[in-house]
Amino acid sequence: MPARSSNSASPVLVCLCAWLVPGGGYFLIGQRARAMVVGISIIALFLAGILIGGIRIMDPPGWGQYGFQDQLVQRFDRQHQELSTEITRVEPSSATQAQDPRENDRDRTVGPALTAQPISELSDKPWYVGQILCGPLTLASSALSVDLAKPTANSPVPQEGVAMSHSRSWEIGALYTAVAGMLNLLAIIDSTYRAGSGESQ
Amino acid sequence: MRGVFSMATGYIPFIYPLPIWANFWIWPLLLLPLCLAVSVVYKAVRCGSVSRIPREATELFIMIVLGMIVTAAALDGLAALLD
Repeated sequence: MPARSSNSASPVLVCLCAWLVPGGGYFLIGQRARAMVVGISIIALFLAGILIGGIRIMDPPGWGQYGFQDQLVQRFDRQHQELSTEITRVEPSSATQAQDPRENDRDRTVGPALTAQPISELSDKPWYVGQILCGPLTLASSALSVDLAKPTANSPVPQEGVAMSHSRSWEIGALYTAVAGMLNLLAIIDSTYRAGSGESQ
Repeated sequence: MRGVFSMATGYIPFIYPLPIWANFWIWPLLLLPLCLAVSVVYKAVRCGSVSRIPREATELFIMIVLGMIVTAAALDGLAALLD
């Protein structure tokens, strides 16, 4: 039967720690064996997903195919001689285009799509909600994915540094990483609950 | 970082997808590690004692796999019936 700990960690701290490192919440409340089982399983599943699908399965919202932030632009309507009311989403394929996504000087840059339309960006890539629950592991692999996506040479046709995986490779890889994140959510909730009820082993 | 990978040729684990496209029979088998991880983590969360995790996780893993096999067989039978 679990014992009540007199000096148990704060549930908020346990929750944060469980997100930062899978299994870390259990470790903080003294359940080290459980922490190892949960942590190793979740991290192994996450890494297996990347092994199967490649690093480019990490596709963070707001970043495009070529590893640059998607931009929103208001185009200048030449016919009516005014800015169009429609906002166009531009996926830059070069660093130059990422800096200035306008087609001409009369266009107006609205800003990065992620900050201007975060819900829309997230709904385009819902699997990232699951993936981000794995914590900094997801952030680090996303940063690597975005970095590797950037074109390496100045070719006339834009070409990704490391190509995005497709079909089953992508599906299975994204499934593994998203499920790893959802399992970590389960562990976050459970360890926080145990910390709140003062339960430790 | 990009420079390191741009110099390399061929398959690099964790960077490029696993080259198993030709082996179509492998894809369903990739669900097994997923089921195993789900079973282990779920039972690690649910079990009061850590010593019970291996046995209960194995039972759950077998149940999930059998459930998927039965569901696949039923759907296959239904598809054959509708054809």
